[in-house]
Amino acid sequence: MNKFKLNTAFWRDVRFLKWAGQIIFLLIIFNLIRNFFGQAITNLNATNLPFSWRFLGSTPGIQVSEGFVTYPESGLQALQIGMANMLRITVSGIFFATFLGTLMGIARLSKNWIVERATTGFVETVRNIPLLVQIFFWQAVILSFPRLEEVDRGQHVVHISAKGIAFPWLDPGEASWLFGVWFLLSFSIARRVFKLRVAKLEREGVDTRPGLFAVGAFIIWNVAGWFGGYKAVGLLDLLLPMFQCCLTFFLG
Amino acid sequence: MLFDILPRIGLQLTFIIAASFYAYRYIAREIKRTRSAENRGILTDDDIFRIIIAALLVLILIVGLFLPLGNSLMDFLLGNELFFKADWGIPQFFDGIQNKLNWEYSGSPFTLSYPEAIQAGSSKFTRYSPDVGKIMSVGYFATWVGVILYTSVFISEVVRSGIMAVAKGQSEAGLSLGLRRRTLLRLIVLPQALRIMLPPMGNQYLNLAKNTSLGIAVAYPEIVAVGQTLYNQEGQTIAVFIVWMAFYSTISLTLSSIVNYYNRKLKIVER
Repeated sequence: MNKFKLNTAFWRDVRFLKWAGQIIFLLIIFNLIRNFFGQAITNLNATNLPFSWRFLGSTPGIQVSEGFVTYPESGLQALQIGMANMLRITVSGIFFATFLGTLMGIARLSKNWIVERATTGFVETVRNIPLLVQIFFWQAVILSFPRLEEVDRGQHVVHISAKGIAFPWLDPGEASWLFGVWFLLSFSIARRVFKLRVAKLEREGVDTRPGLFAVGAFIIWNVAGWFGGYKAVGLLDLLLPMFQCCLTFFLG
Repeated sequence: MLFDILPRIGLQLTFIIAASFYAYRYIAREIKRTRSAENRGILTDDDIFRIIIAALLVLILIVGLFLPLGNSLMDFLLGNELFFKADWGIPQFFDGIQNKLNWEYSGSPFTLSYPEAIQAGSSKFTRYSPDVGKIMSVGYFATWVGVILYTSVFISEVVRSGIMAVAKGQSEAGLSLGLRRRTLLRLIVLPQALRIMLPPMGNQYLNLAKNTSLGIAVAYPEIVAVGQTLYNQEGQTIAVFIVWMAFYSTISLTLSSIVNYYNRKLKIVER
């Protein structure tokens, strides 16, 4: 029997030392954070501003200049308006920035001298100016447009003034969500058509124009939907009450 | 009397024929499946069970067509007023369906609305009506354009480096196959470049999300501006900071996990 006998003390065991080191480090970090927060809360108590989340529920009495609500009913709603406004810029910004960036990236590698130079110049200009300055610049651009005067009252198609840019927009009707579902379906259908055409291309070895067919399916589907086809989605409404009927029938 | 019932009978017949057809096809396929060399046409208990279940389901469906639930389905499909006007315990729900299926009532899904400059209250000032058209405020426009241009410039660098990182032999091989430059870029260079571009691209998206906080400088009410207004009023600095940190880390982690998902999907499978 070669029984292993541990004859060193446990505090000199490497495994113990490793664990102990990690745990002590974590304890120190947690203690530091707790101390900082505790100190901050104590100081706030001393200045008669005790830490609480109660402001999230009470009416803040502030006005937010734009958002889904302009007079928030609670602090939480005010923060939610801010979040929605931030996401509004982020989502559309990611989309447009990717598109523009890809175009400019390809243009910078272009063989065309003018295109290449112009893009490089633009990129170098924008890259070397701080973002805050650029944002102020675009604000100044809009603010330099004429003020909204009394003469401008009435309907416009596109109107730019120091108050902002106004342009036409789609106003959702009563059944617009049905069309939304129909529109989302169109992506899946275009994808399926693309796959089918690609499969045919690989099978027969002739150009079946998968991209063209996918775009065509997308357009046809949505035009058919716009002129009434989307109402088929309304049949979905039937399922929910039927489900409720079944539930009440079986459960109570 | 007979002519009133005819469409209902027709619908019921259609349903019955369709159901029997599908059941017949399913059962025939199940039986045909067993006629292979190794099964020798022997139906196992499992197969028989499946066939019986299919037949039972169709039977239940056919019987159900003549029960109250099936009858109300017919009423719905035939547009019977009795069905839509009945009290279903769910107020205005079926009424809504009828309206949604009625083109004259609900109109087209979207209508174009034009912006309008109106008098602000009873003052001498003018403002855009918030109800019609779309108004891009000064703060939104400045933040939006600034952030997009700034990020797209960095993305263009990422794209350029990604394209340049694809081995030159790839495009030379494509050219020697007789591809046009556009096709070459679309089919050979960009798919390979995308793999290299994706991680730094995700970085730029995170930068974009975080740079929107500069909207506070042009009075765009995003979360930093709103939070600052709130803590100036209530004095709850720590709480607002916790909300900010939680929100921005949620956004960043979501974005980076999406990018990571695509990165994992596009990665070359190495053995």
